[in-house]
Amino acid sequence: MGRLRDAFRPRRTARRPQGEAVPIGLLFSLTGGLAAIETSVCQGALLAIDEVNAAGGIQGRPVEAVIEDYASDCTLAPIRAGKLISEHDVIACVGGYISASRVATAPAIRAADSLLLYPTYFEGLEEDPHVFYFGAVPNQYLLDYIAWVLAHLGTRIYMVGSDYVYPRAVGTMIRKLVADAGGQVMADRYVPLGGTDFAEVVAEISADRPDVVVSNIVGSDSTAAFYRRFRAAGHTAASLPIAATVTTEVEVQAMGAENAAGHFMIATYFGSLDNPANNRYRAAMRARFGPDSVTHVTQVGAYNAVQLFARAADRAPDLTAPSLRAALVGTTFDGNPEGWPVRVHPNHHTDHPCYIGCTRDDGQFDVIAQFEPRAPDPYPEAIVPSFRRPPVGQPAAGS
Amino acid sequence: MTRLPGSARTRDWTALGVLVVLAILAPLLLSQSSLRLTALFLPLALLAMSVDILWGENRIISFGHGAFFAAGGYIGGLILIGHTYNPISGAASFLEQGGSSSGLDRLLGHLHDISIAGLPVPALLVPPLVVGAIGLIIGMIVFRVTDPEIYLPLITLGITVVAGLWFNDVDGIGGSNGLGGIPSFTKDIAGGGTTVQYVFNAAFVVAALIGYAVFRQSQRGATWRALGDDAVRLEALGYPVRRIRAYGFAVSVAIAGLAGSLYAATAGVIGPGLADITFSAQPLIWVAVGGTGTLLGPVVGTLVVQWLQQLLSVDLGLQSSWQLFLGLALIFIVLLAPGGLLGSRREGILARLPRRRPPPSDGDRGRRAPTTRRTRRLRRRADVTPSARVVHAMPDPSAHVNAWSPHALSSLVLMGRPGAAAAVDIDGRRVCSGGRS
Repeated sequence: MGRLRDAFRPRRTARRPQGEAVPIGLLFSLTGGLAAIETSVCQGALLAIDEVNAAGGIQGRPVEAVIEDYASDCTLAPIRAGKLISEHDVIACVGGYISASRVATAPAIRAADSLLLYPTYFEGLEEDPHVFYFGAVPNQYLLDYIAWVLAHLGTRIYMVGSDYVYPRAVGTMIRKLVADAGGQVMADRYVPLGGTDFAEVVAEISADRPDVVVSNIVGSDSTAAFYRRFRAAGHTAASLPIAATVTTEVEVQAMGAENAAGHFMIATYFGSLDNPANNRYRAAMRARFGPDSVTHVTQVGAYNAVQLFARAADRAPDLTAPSLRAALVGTTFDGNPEGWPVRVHPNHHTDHPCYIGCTRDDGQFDVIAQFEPRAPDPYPEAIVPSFRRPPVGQPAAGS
Repeated sequence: MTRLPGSARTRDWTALGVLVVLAILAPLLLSQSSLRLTALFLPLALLAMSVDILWGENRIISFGHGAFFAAGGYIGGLILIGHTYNPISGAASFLEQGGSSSGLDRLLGHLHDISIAGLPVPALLVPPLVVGAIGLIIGMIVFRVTDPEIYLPLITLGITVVAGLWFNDVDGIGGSNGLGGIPSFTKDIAGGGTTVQYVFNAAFVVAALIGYAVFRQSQRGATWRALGDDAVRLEALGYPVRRIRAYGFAVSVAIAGLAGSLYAATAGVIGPGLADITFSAQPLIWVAVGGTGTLLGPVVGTLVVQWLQQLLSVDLGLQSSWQLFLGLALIFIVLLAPGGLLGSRREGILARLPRRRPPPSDGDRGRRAPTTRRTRRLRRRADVTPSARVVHAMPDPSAHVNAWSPHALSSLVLMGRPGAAAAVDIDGRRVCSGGRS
């Protein structure tokens, strides 16, 4: 425990910036069911804060991380965010992981006129003036992925996902994309969130004999249960490949790499990417958090969030939310471990390249195809017209 | 009839007084964020109370109160927001151009617009009424079974599981995202700060406690408690047992629904996680810690467990091991005070404290039966206060005659003061007597 706390204490650097510290809130679950993944996301933000301080801080002042734990309980998230803003005077909060945590936190951020920097790739369908999104939205990776799947894996698709906002939204888009390209979605099945009973689904897959299974299953337990069941039924990546959207290094590690070997995944970042920024990033993570530390896409989102925010805050005339918001739009960061400069668009979303990975035996991914960034469009009306964009200034979730 | 002993009545009012004083002092002593958390815990305390109305008094355990709580939260949240929310289509359906808003949205919009003195009253009234009506229907069906003590936990468990999936699936309530940005009840009252929010929630808890205290001491309260002691006997006496239980269940569930609405408005968010079985089991823990069948036990238990959890996990930084310490604390409480912190069965912590006893008078010495644990327990079970002159006992139709008569005699003798006489008459004929007759 002591070690864990020490690991979260920001380190002092040799060239310490002078002046009163600028507090930035980090709102993550360090306890509860999401603790493992969110702790590693938090590490990305902490590494970035160290690097920002080493490079001179914000307007010559050091950045101080204030961590609040919302204990995997989304009802606590807005209270913790309020505490960060009112008691610690943070100028912005980096945090949230699952969509529910963002939906819960954003109103509290809005009420206090602060900023939320959200690190996760998600279903989109949201443009909140008080939130900046450092993960990709579906139009940035699904168009290329589905085209590639149809061309290389086959046109008869069986789709399975968790009964959750992300898989439902992405599933709707995939059905449209497949239909437009002349493919066929044979089935579109949803299992309860966190569910581990895939007997029926796998039996149906064995009977239907699709060309490819598209998986939008979320959560380590559910993903592991599905891949294990799938393998136990005698399917291999060679006979029937799975093309996933949410099976990252974290999930592969949890299920055992042998269960996922040879199957495919789309992501804007893989730990195995070979580019100078990522090599430096991986080395820095290992130096800071130990040789076992994993790197993954959402962690990189948190890292980019802090890097971009610090650059914007350094240029901003003052550290109030309106100035920071204006300064963030258009800010670019060249050291993005995804291997492409990341820029903040006027709709508060960010640029991301995307890669198709084939799972290796060691749980990492071989990159077999890569695509240049597409402009982020959280409401890809061209794909699904029912994804309506609310009138400007009208947030989607609640009043 | 099972009347509340006079000492317990006084204790109820004294404890309630102490709690009210503490509640008034809290805003002065706590920091803003601690007060905000306490304000959030108060609806949970109300939920625990609604569970204890069934458990403590009627020996019926419900695993479904989390689902009713969540239902109340969703209904209250939708009214406070004023429209449905569908994250997949990206926008609330009322935002559509062309005005094809659904009937539900129009109804929510109307309810949203009603407020009395700045207070959105529909969000306070509709959740308990709707949830209570559902509870009444469920109660009318469930209490037809012979052993509701056994079946109700199973049925409510089923309700929880189904509700968890249902809240995830129904259109317009945010799916797994839940509803966010629910405005608080007090946003238009006196600035709507944290203190106002706290006072508002505390007022509901105190009002519920006073109402419950009055009920416990009333004739209906006595009937309700007697139902927990022996439903078969009460049915033989002609009480409509099933109907009473169904009404009681509906009231309990309605309070859970009201608590849910308060919780959603205080947290600003409500999600399907609250209909989860892990959440539904939590009120049972709070009640067990505080003490079942005590007036204040559920409230105290909830605040103690919730604050302990906060202190251990966040303030002491036991990020991964706080649950272990919480578990140890619970075991400690169960060992030291099986009846809970405020246990009324003289097994609570309060009963462990040394107390003064009046010295026995000379005349009683020698003849007095040794006060064993068993006699003490029997005395406590006795339905009447020892001062009563004549006791009218009703034979238990559920027991064999030869089983109840020696029982009745022994309890009468035991509960009489030392040296007092007791006798059992049936149809005016003395069948047995004991003590100094």
